[in-house]
Amino acid sequence: MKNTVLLALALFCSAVSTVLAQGATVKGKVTDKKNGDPLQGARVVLTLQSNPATKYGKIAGRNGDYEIKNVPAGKYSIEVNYVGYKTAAQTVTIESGSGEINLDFPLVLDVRGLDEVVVTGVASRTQKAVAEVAVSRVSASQLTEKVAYTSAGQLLQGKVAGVTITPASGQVGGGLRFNVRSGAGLLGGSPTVFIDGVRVASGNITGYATGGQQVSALADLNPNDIEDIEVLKGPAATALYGPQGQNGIVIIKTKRGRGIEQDQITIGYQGIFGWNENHRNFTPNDIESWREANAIFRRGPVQQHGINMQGSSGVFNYYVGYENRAEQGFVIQNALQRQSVRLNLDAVTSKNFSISASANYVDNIVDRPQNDNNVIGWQGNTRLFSPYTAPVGPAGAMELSTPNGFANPAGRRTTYGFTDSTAISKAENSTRTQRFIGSAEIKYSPEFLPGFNVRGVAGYDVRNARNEIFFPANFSYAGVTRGRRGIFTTSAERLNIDFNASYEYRVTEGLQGSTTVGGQAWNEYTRTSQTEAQQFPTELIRDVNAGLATTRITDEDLLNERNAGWFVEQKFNYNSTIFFTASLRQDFASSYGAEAPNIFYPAASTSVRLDKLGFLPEAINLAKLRAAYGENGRLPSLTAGQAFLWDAGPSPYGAGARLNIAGNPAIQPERTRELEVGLEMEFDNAYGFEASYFIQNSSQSLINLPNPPSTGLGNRPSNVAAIDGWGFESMFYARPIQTADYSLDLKLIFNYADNKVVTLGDFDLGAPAFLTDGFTRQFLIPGQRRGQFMGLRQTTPRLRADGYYDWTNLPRVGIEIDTAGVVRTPAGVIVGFPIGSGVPLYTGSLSIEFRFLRDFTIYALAEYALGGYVYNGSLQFSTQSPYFNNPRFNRLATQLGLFGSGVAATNGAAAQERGPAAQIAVGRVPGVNVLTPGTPEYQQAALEFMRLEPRVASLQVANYAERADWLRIREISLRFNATRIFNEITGLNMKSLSFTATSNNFMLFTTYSGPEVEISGNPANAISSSQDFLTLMQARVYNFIVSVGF
Amino acid sequence: MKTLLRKHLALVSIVVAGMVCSNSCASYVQDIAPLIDVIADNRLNDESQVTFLSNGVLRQFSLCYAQMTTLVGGLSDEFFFDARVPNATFPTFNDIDNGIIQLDNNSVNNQWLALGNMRFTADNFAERIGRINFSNPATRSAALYTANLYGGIVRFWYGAYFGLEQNRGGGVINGGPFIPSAAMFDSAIAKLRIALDNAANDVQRRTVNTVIAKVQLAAERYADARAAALNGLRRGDPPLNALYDLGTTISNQWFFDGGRNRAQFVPSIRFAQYILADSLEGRFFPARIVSGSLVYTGTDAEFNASLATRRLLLFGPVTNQGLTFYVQGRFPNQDSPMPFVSWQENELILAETALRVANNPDAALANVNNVRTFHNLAPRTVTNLDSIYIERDKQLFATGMRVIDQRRFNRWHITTPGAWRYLPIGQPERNTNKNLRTN
Repeated sequence: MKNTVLLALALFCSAVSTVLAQGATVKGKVTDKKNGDPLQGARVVLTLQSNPATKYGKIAGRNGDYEIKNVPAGKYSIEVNYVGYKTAAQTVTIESGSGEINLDFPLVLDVRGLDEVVVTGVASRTQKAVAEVAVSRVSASQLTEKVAYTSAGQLLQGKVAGVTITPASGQVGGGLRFNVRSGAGLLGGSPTVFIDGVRVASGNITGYATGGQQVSALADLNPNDIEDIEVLKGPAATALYGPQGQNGIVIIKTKRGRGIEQDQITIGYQGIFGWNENHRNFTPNDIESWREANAIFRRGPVQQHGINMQGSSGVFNYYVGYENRAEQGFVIQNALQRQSVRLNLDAVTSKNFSISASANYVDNIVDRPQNDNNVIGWQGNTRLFSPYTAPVGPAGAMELSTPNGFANPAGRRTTYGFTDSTAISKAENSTRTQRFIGSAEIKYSPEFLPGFNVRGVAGYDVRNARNEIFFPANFSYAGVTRGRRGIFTTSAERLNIDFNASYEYRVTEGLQGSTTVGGQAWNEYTRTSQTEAQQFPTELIRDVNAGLATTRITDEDLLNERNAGWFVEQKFNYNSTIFFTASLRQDFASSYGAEAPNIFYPAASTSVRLDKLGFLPEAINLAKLRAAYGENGRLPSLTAGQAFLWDAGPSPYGAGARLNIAGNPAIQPERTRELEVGLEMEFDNAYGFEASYFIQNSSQSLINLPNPPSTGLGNRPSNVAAIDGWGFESMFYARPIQTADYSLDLKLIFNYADNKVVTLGDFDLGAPAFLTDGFTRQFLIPGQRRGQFMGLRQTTPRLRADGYYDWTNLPRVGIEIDTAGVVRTPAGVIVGFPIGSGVPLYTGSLSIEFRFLRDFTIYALAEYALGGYVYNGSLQFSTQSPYFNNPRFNRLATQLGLFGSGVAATNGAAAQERGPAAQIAVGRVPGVNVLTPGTPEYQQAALEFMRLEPRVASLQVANYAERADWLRIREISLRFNATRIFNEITGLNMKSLSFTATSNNFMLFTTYSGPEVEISGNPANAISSSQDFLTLMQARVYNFIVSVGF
Repeated sequence: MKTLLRKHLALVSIVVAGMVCSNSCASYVQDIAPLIDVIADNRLNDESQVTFLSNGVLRQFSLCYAQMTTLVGGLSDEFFFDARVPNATFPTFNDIDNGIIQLDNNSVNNQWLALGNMRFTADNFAERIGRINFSNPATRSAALYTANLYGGIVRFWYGAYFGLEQNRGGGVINGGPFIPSAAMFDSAIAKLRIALDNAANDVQRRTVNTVIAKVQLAAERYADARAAALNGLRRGDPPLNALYDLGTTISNQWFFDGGRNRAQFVPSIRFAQYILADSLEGRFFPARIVSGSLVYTGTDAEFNASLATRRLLLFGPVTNQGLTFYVQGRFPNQDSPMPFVSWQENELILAETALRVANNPDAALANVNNVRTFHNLAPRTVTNLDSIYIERDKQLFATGMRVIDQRRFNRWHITTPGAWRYLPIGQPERNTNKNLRTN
């Protein structure tokens, strides 16, 4: 026995061991190396090296024991995996006549997965411990055991340093906006998403708008199919991806078949039951119509059933998953019905050749309510109007006595003033997406040429979407005459082919080199068609053909674009201590009617494992210094190089020529450069941090600069602008407790990112002094942050001669409105004071996971953002005439004597006065007294009131752009892993059984006064970013999860 | 040696692969399906495309005309904004009505942009004609007629409706310097004279002459206006109409902003008084508020029958919160055509200029009565500038002339300091046009 143990220890210490055995039994114990605790559930697999399809394996039992019987003679690789520990691997040779072989495996903690292979470039995969760039990995399969997610995007929220993800709306299936680092490029943008090698559509599905809410293509993915997600964040890491990597790369890997042994099948079921609800109710302090606004909310049930099967069948490993999710949003008419089937196959025919295939079919139906910026929307009809109808007294006077405040002067236009509630409830907008995402990957390493590897991936994403709208003829809708029916169909295909060939070789003693050449080609072909009609004879029919023929609109479009690029990469590795990579990529993109533009992007990176140089204490198991520089950018759009393109505008004269695009034949590709330096350290395999500092510069930024409107040319594509970005991102992690019964994981992410517009071009040559959104609230101004809110501040109230607040006249610039130190254009025109940017300066998260009593786990993730501003457009709009739905404004106006009891004057005349001061011809707030002009109380009320000035655009920005710091308990859960207890009680061998209670968006703490502080505006980044106008708040979701595996 | 050969083989393979990639990428990305919805500019330089180009100009004209007249109707005392009218909600319209217009008023700025598009489309067409080889001279003339007539009209609108300051009318052409109204009208006339030279028939010639007369009247060059009007449209000639359809692309914006679909602007009460004073002036069709929305009566046949003779049509009266108002029905539908010039307007130009420059009250009276008798109204026995001012108010209702007349007759209705008498050239132009930066 003693000899056997010694032999086992000898085996463990050597990479290759030989044992004489026949029909041997391999047994042993898997433990935590540090404290000796047994690791129940560790996975031990022997793989026959001559035929990798032959496997033998077991899951370690209660005491960490495992025993694999009847292992035939042969040379095996043995791997031992346990979540959170480094994989132990060695080779063992079993020969005929052998008996028992004892192999114990004391595993070493690996809190951050340093030994796991991560993607570090388009053709690079390496251990995280030696990666030369910042790469973040999110283990989705572990997260989905703890929290229920609707979409893949939610999986990344708060998990990745340097990346924030904001939903476009609280609706189910809504769009997402990614903000990566300081947002490479002048207008930022979203990262490119790969799923199992398929470059997928990840933006929003086009179709009929419902007021700012969109359907995200990422909502098609079943989060439970995902194994892990890796994120590369900037050009330093993504240069070899070319233009598609400018805003980062998200690599999603789905679950693969992992049979413990041949012909063994694992079947899992997960059921999710819960509901969506509004995370906050409006109060009487928010809006007068708080009751009405709250009345549109409900509990939307969530139910999901997923089943998967995985295993190994000889040559093939397979994973099959099916999901059926039915979910309703917390506003009526919002629902999602998704069915997803996935089949992943991996064939390993020899150690030199492997082929993998992934196939996913999704049928997703998303019903969207009319909402957001929309006169047919629920929120527009409940959050803007004061609910109180003014009783009309003698001679039209309105003396109001309402139960809770202020009456709407417009009388009839109370809640649902734009559109009747029944009419809203009958309006339909439904999108059905049927989508197939599939890929095939081949790897080949010829035996005759050791070190030479070829890899090729073909990905295909085809999506057919049909968006239907219906407004019944028997209801009244703005802009709709006797009903409207529309159908918008999209047929989109994306094909990408990636391939590379690499050769690894020894240069000199201790110096390894590898040379890689590869290419990527991408083809997108999208066809859309639309047909709609109005004026239906009856609401009982919805065939477009039944609409009045002359109201019918039909349209179609076709877009075919291609990108292609190739690259060469040279790597060196000196003694696994110093690493260096240099690469170059050339890219091409389709260009209509002109020669395809192309551009070279270089990159270089290095990392040094300081812990291997011998001068650091042994407790430091990782100390890595890294630096990377890379360039990429964007190529001009398909038609940007055309001087003029015309389309056909329908008209009663017959279709006429209409200017579609006034392009720029001199347009050039945009270039973004990034330098990244980082330090990663880990102590005692349990405490660590990783930090990166980056600086970015985008020059020749592709941006549409406005021509003067009098030219009639719209915007012109240009690349004269430039922007700088910089920031710091860090993650601290610790596992201070790790025993068999208890463990504690802590993770803190802290990011800082900022940017500054350098130039918009030469002002004297016609460049604008600044660019602004459609409402002149956010700006691009040289010297200022991107999306800077700019406004003017009123310093004193404008008073009338009699001392009353002067509402009839606007405050005057330079008198009541301060201009000292204001930002001006080069020509001296006042732009305003910089108030703040819509993008927060500081973001991050804190997560805690505590396992206790061995089988119970509490998990919480809090995400935060500091230093950003949100424009409260809902409040501004509902404050102004004729809505008067802001209780504070109404109270102050009454105190200032501005509210009379008369009716509004018309046709340009000043408001009629019913009292000595009344200038706003509406009713007073009951119970509030008019203050006496000249008194300190009146002065104070006037000062407060002018901060609510809703009329002048520049003052609106100053008064309604609010500091929007927030902390949100994004995810919280309590999980009970009942596997052990269940098996002990029943004597069965259930692989897993757990029960989890979880909540998403559990609580929100914020300085912002609106109901939702995370405002994405437009998921495709633009100047306008954080302007809240009736944004539907995010749902608070409660779920109960049951998971069973056998 | 073997290892070295293998290494070279691998590296050579890699280099060859790179060369293949580089060469194939450029051709691969250009092998794409052609776009189906756009046409390259040079492909339109062909005689066969003239109708398509011409329709494009007409389309822009229709797009601009209804929206333009809606906005200036609100700027003048012809229409007003009141929040007590159901679904009157646009703050930008309220500001226009009050004359206190911010430079970021997006209703105004959108219209400014629309005029820019129309001006570009018309001028681009005119310029393109020089690049087209015509086999048929008549086609060329027709093209020149359209391009210059509407190029002239858009310049008239710039001069008549927009301004750099509250009382300083004028516009901007193609990102150039500010052009005051008088110079803009000159530019319009120059275009219209080319159109006149290329008119295909007498009706077209008379149409252009009436347009010239209209421009000269706005420029307060009454002798020139009279000279043109004397060769202008006659009774029986068709009006120059802007056409609209029921689709949502080219709609008569009066229907959506000042009509049955949504009444952001409603007509001054005096138009109802005109009808109440003489029922032959127009007709009321009842309207009422049901569940917060306006509900109208009447059929298209009834509207058409009424408008065949009467010049006013109003829906109402409706009373809400002490406000009694009407909704215009002169253009009752989304596809109601709008006359830009008519023989009636030509007669009224003749009438006014007969008094102003010809000192001929009898001729003026005859001109006025020609219009009135057409509408079965009792002929006047005397006329003067005041009565012509009123006659124009009724006859040219909702066609954008009231704002011009108020200025010409110096009868502006708002006394608030700083109130605009033109729609302001907005921030988008001022921000991007370096010629306006010092202003």
